Amino acid sequence: MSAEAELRFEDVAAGDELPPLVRGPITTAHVMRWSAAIENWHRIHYDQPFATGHDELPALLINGTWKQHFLVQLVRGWAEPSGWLAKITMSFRGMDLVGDTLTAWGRVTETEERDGLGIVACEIGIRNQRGEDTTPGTATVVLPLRDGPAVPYPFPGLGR
Amino acid sequence: MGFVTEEVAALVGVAGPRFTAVGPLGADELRRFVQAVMEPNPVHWDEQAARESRYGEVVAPPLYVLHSLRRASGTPDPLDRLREEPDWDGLDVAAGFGGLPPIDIPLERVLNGGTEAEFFKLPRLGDTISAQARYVDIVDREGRSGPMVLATIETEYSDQDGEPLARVRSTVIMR
Repeated sequence: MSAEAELRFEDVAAGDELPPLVRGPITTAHVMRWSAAIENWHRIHYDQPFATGHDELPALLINGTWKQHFLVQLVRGWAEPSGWLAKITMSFRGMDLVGDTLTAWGRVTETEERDGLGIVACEIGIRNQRGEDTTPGTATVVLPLRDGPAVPYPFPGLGR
Repeated sequence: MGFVTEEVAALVGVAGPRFTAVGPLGADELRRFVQAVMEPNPVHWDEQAARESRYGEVVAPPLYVLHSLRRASGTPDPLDRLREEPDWDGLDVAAGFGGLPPIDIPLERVLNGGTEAEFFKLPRLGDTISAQARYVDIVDREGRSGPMVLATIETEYSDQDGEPLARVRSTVIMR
């Protein structure tokens, strides 16, 4: 990517939407692959009789751990290589079921210049094909100014 | 009235042991992880792309740290529990508490309420990741399904040089 195409603080305004990311349908195979990769043996992700019988869930669940990374991918896909995802928050409000197609979405809510860098706040979330927003959150991205220095790496933190 | 007695509240500020990964982050482990998480950014596998980035070398995605502490070989198999307890759900509840002393209250269900993460540096291949957790908040809440307790656990992840990688706060809902 050329430097001109990289995101700068001046390119961003409140209300801008992040390019959405879509994954799915997320099948049992995807969820099994993820559970195995992180060595998480929680049966609600791969043992259907257990999930629907013992735990009385509507279906196998897509892992919250996987959804966390999906939101990180959304923000970094938009902000990098020039920007840095400094902070992300999310809460697990609803279930995403095996078979669902998930869309990660984001929108800029606030921009602020601070100490020669651009600080961009976003609201983010994951929505399934039923229209349920299961994983609302926020992201704070640090962007360089058009004529400013690069975002420092390692990043020292946002401070308070 | 609530579950957070003086004794429970005294856990706020208490830190757990420092855990260190069983070994340095290996290329094959990262490959497997990156594929399972469906990571689109080539700095996580392509040396050329990584060299041209701020990272300079292949790195793991920011939240990889959450999964960096694996079970060492030769330690007890957690799945042995299924022999005695076939209805066990496979979830290692204690792992979510990062070795912290347990919150001794009569609430059985433990749910993951959410995550808050700050990122400083991404782990490189060959880095050995360490983690240390502490309680930063324990409060009573009235939920829709009755009383519950929210415990916030902050975990600092660092590399073998003590360089901070990430700070992750997770909220555990007990109800």
